[in-house]
Amino acid sequence: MDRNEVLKLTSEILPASQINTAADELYDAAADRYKKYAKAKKVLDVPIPLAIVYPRTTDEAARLISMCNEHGINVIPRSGKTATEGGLENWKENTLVLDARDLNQIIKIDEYNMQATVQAGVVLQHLENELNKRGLTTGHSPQSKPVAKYGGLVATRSIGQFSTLYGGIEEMVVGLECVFPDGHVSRIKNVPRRSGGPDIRHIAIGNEGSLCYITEVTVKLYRHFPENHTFFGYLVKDVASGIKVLREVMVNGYRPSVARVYSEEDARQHFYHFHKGECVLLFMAEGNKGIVQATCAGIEEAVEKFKDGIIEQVDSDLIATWFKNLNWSQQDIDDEFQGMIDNDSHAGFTTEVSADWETIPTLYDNVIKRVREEFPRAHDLTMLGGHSSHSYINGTNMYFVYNYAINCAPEDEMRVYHHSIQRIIVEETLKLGGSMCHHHGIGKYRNEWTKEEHGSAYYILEKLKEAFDPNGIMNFGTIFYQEEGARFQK
Amino acid sequence: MKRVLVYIDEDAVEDSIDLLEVGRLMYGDKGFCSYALAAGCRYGEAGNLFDHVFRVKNGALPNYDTATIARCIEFLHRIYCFDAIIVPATHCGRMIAPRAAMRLRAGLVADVTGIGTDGDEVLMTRPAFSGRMLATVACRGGGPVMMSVRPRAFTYGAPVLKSAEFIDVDVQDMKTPGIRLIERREKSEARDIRTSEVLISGGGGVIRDFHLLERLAEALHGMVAASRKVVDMGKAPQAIQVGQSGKIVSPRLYIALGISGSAQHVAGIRNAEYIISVNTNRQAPICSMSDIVVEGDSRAFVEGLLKRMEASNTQTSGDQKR
Amino acid sequence: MRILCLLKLVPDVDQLRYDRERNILIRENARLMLNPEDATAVATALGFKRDAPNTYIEAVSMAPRGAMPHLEDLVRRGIDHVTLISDPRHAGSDTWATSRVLAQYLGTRDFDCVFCGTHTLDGGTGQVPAQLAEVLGLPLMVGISTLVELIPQQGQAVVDVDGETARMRFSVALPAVLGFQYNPERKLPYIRYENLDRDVSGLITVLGNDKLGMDESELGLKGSLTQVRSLRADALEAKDPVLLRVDQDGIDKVYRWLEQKGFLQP
Repeated sequence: MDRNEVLKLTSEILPASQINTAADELYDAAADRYKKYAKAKKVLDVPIPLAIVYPRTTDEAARLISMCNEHGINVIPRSGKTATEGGLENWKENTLVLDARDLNQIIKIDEYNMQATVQAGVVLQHLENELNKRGLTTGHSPQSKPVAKYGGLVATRSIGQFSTLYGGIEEMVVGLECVFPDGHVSRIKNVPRRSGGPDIRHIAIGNEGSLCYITEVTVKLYRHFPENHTFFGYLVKDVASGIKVLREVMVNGYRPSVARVYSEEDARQHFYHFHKGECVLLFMAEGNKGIVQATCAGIEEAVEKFKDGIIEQVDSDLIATWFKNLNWSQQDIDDEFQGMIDNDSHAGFTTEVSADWETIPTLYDNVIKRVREEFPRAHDLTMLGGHSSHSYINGTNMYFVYNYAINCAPEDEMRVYHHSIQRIIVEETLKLGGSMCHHHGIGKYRNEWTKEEHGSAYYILEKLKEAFDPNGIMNFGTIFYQEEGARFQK
Repeated sequence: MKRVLVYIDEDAVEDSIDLLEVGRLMYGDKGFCSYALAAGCRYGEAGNLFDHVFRVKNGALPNYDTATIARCIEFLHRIYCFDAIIVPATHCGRMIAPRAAMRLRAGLVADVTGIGTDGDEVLMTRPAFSGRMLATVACRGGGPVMMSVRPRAFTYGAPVLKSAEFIDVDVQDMKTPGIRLIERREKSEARDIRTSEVLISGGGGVIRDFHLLERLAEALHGMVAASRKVVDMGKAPQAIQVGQSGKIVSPRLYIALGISGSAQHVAGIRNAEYIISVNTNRQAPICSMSDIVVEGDSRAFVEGLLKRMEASNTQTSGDQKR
Repeated sequence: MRILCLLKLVPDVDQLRYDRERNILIRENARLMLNPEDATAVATALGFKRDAPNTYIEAVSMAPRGAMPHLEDLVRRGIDHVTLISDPRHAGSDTWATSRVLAQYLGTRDFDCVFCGTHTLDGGTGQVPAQLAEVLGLPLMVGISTLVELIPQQGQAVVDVDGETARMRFSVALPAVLGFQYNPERKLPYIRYENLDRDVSGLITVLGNDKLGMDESELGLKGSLTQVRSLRADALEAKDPVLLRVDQDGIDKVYRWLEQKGFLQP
């Protein structure tokens, strides 16, 4: 099948205004933020998709996907473009990018039943703005909030800054609609809970476009009490001390919306004007007045209990201000792009993992030690550290961050730097029984460890892929390792 | 009575004469005898401000002939035994001072911005580590205290008028060939932001409205300056960058628009007399060193202030420093 | 053509920590990086070599052993030989002591030109190139923005210095010391992927004082003519600002303040 044939088939389903073949946009569509540096330097090594298509209805999406299934055309489902793990990267010559741009309606905001229904192309910030007007919130606030859209947010099991209170996207989704490769449209209805066999929502939630294409989502709503937001900040001796306080707060049953510990170097990026070279512990409490008061008391008790690890308290206003300025805007992304072109560097990379309370401090120390000792370009590192930002009663995550002087050609940057560091982090995490991927999604660049991550349970994932995508057209290379894609990874 | 030699750089005459203030800080007005080495063709008011002025016999030495000037300093020191030799840290001064120090086997402290004393000892303060630290340094050994001084770090205010004795120095035997000026081309931007009383400086918060700053600068008879971020993004030339990696400025008024205040930027404005910051973030680090903090959008501020000034139909004063 | 590149490894200032209680600078965790102006000098030398392949470039650095990975990288980028002058007795050297150690080594070398940066990010004194030039009796020009021409057969280099108000072009007699100004456009070439792990130990020489043969009284703190008495984190005055907003009232207040301070003519 060649390019013209694919485009012809596509034009039988969609009008020309919904088919995009502009060269620079196709180049941009070939990779996501994972290869942001190579993209900025125009040295991407992957094939370019044939077209970006914008279905306006679920029916159009169904027809497109079943056409691709019939003809073996790779489909990359896309909405907000904020993917960071190669989930949107293209590894096939014949690829169509299915962009939810025109599925952008907020269908219903049901205040009484505390549910909102949106199409996959709705920007999270837009829904949030509408809800805020009514004293409500989605409770979901990833850093990409101003730009990310619901399709991707659900497909990657995304998590937001306030997850310690509201949970991740999986806690928020009520029902959804999705399209399968054979063209079948499934609508999962909105009910508060049911015991109707296994919870099939979770086949769509987190599928990263490898099983189906999400077209519509219904999420829970929460009351919003911004007037009660309260912040706490502390300088602490080390990451382990901070984690002790986090655990204490969580196991005592409190749910701050934000609970974080930053290592020194990571703290420096955000808090240089007050961290004095130390680790930073911070909390935010939100909700109605009674809950906030109780949560604040719980935080203060935990801090008191572990005060040996606390150096000093930080002015809450500084934390509040930092929070207000944390989210990306499209301008930030554009400025970053230009900066990479001009300065031969970028703002760094991350690998985020999770583990139980006991394991996380050991994991952190092991990784830092191994990277410093084993990574052959350790002398190029300009930053190495991490922060815990999502806690549960039984553990927490660790978001490793690192940046380095790039002394090799841009097309080699990933394999010289990021991969080597990521490999150490993933190995240590899997060795200690944690999860190698907390919330960004496996994408393509951790797919070599998917089997090890799931062990004997991989069988379940594998069968789902066989059942729903027997022709392997859905986002080739995402989650499931593909030998053919290895040359782009190594 | 101490003896202090000051090198007059012909391209920075006023800044060189200002170094008399350093002598004053070390030894007091009446505690030293001042000598100026005017090796070049220009030495401005030195004749009215120094006790002695050395000039080169039979033609001036250009400032870039640093090897010869260093020998000249050595020659003079052997005769006059200076207690301190002070050189402005200009492009040429920074070559002359170390060459001379090497010949005199004297300790040299570079880029001095502060002077103190500890008994008889002179303590010189200079920035280190990109301006994040201040080092206080003393000289050891028997030689003269030697230093190169950051231009505009000191001002010789309330000058004591003198009538200098002019002494001609024969440098024929000292000349070392090596550097020849082929061509000198004046650059079109005449003014240096370091000479401006008023600076209107833009940062990341005004990148898209940077052109507005010129109007405000004009209205206040000042100049436009920029933070490193703006220069790195190509919105302003390096010549107007303020900060440790740009220029250290000492205006009477520094208006910082949309500048958060990184440590390296703030190192460039420590000597600003008044700072007004305009920022959407009241907690931006630069606010802690501002006299006035205006919270809000910088563009709206500039437009609003310009309108207010036009409404009063005022002309702005053109207060020159000297 | 033989070019000698002098370079310094400086700590990444962003990673330095200051222990207020003990009043000392903690450098241990700060990574070393090639001083940016020295990198410009090296990049210029490599650029020259690309057009004149018979050029021999030796890089010389007085540094602790921790500098080794960076120096290996230089060889991998095309430098012909690296000499690391390293001895624990050098600790605490000021520019006087440093210049004399470097001169001791450079005096034994044959070269047409010394390239280096004008200032360093840490000390930033810019004294070593000049002091070295004086000891070796060589012409010196620093702050060079462009190397226009390098003609060893004619014994001259032509350089441009971009000053504040004028651009000057000089002819400098070789051998000479040339100090470059930072030029972000002049970048070191990438290390090619196949060279990243290349064993280059054969092209690096490490020299301690035993080889250089200087008297111990001339080294380190003892051999220095200046002494750092104290190092403090710059005490920035924290003011108590008047807080206003960008609105009619705020702008009016700023206007009246400007008037009162004499920045406007009444």
